Amino acid sequence: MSRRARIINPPQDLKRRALSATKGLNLELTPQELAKIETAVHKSKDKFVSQVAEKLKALRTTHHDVEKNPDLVGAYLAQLRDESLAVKGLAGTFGFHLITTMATSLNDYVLKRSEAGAKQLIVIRLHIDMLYVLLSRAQQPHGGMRAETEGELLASFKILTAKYT
Amino acid sequence: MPAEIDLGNVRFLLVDPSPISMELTWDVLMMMGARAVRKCQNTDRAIEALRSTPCDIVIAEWNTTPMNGLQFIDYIRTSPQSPNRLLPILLMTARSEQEYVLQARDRGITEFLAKPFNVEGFYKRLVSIIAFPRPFIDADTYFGPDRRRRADQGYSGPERRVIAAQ
Repeated sequence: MSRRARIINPPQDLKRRALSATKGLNLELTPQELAKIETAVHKSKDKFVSQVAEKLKALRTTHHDVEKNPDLVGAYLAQLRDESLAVKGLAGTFGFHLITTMATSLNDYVLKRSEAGAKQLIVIRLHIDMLYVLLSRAQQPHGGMRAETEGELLASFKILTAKYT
Repeated sequence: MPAEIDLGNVRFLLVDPSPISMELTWDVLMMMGARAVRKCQNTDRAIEALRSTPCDIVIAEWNTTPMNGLQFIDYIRTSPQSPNRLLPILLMTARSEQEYVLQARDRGITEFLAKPFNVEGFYKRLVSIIAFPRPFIDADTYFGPDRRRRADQGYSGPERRVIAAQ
């Protein structure tokens, strides 16, 4: 027979130490406080762009190796899963929403994949190339694209990934 | 109730395998006034850190090694070796689909933050952890913060935990 759930009151020590009437941030951030904290995000933006560029460069090299030696595909897919998830999780914080969307598309494509043939590798390669293009235009609003182009691009990748599952 | 939060009095532990992601979270916390923030790139280091120095809030990425985020939560919540089973855990992940949120909730996370995050959302999770701590539930199949965030005032049946509180 299952026992009755026990309820444990939460410790109050942290609350006592951290809540203050005079020092710290408002429970609801003011616009000034928010703007100040966001400078930390802006500070890391350039670093993010250069690190992702390095990652994409490494992926292109591995991709080239996999095309010559299909035995490497398993490790490559694992690498793609990790890298695309990391880019998906960070790009939007810096305001690069289109990069997050493209990395999400790549991550979804490789998430449960254990093999990739020639056609699937082309789909992967197109994602990497597109991420490169978007990254090079990252500082421009909407990746330097008109909203319609952005929509068409995303729709094209949706069709592409659905066709070559 | 005091209306400000001084993160200078809060000890954080960050667990994230990605240096850029870890650095971003660290920078944001520092800008919010935190001073004691330890960084670990894997869960082995994180466990060592938890055992050696007191910590108030763990901020962990799901995609960690050698334990993944869920296994790390299990360690904190259920392991006999856990230094503090009541430790608040904020889990951050780009795996934001509902199935992942539910899995994390049912393992006993305190707060969940989908990535990419914004500063305001991140801060709100910290406020929730610090200013509005929830009771813990110790049941046969679950140990963690109460998953019921809204009290149902109209409920009058048996086994409603808010009524059974001791």
